[in-house]
Amino acid sequence: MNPTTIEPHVPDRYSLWLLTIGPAIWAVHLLLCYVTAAIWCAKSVPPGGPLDGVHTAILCYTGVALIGIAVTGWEGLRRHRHGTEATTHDLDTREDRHRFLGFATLLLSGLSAVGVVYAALAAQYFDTCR
Amino acid sequence: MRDVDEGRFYLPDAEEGRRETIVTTAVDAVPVQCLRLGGNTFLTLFAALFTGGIFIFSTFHWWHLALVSCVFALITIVTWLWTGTAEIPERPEKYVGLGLTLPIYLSGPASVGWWGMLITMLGVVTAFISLVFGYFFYWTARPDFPPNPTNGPSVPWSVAALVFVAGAWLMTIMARRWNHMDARPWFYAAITTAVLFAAAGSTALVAGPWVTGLDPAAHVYGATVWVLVIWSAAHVGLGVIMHLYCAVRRLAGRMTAVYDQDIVNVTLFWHFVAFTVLITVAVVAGFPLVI
Repeated sequence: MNPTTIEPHVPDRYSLWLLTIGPAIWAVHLLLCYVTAAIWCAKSVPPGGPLDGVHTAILCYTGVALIGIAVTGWEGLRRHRHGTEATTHDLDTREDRHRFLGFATLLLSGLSAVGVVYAALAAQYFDTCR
Repeated sequence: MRDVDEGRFYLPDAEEGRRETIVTTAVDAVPVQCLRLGGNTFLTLFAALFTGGIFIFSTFHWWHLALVSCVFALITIVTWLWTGTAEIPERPEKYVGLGLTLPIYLSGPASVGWWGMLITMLGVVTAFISLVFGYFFYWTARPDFPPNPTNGPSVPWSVAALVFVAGAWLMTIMARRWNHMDARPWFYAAITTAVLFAAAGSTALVAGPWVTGLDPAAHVYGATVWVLVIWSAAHVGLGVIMHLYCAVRRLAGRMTAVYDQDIVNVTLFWHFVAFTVLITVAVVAGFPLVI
């Protein structure tokens, strides 16, 4: 058997990074909501003041976050449906890994969307900084 | 099972008597490297014991013992690194079976060491960001943060620290580049300059709150600023140890223009150090100016 040499690094055709986008958007949304409310209540209004501007800002954050998560989830769904309707997800082939990662991306995007909506709902239930 | 017993797969034997494993890509598991690992050693056990001693002795305020433990931990870890990592192989590639030949040594993003440094530094940055969060948390939670009048860190000293550390960072990048070009004198000059810049930078960082007499025990503001400054200065100091390690490795012939994993990983560390110092100076010296 003759030895052959391969390239030192073969990049993965289907990156893992797509999996992280949904949860990352969720984390950034939560951070922005927290920071906005904290600074508003500490520096912009007296103790127990209204959260008016914060509600609007969080609604905007939520809209942008959900759009981003939807786009990511759509890409996950597209990968999940790669091939024919009868294709598998659990065989030792590149295509199966592609579909599996797409499905995982779709599920993580769904979880992230629920998390974003919960954070936004919590902010909407409060009227004041108290 | 019989196929395995008869050595019909990758790495059926260890001809050189070394511990080896195959590194693959993350998703498709395509083999990319035959990685040599360190063998059995008690160094790791001693490193853990001495590192634990730093925290245990500090808990009881036995500072001298904690310092001695720190020195021994450093010696043990450097010995471990020197003997067990980035070893230059006797040949660049190795036949691993099934018609496949793989490189033994890789550096940069293709190597597991680079990713180990990246993941470690992401953890370190997470801890650092939590300290920065503490500063802003107190700013929102306490009306007297920063206290008025404040004797916060000296802005000129803090800016000087940023400039010096940026210089050390750039010199580290140049050292990596010149090492790769096999320009040894330039490599040593860059490392020496980086060490001097780093020493000046960490001194200036500590001088910032020191010259204004900021008391860490008087107010949470002083405590928070000092924690951020000491954190940054300690990482700059760690970066200097790494510089010196690379210079000695090059002198000893354990790092070359081709086998340059040490300086590549150290450069990655310095990217994070530069980021840390930038954020620290912006927060402790810049933020009080804009609020």
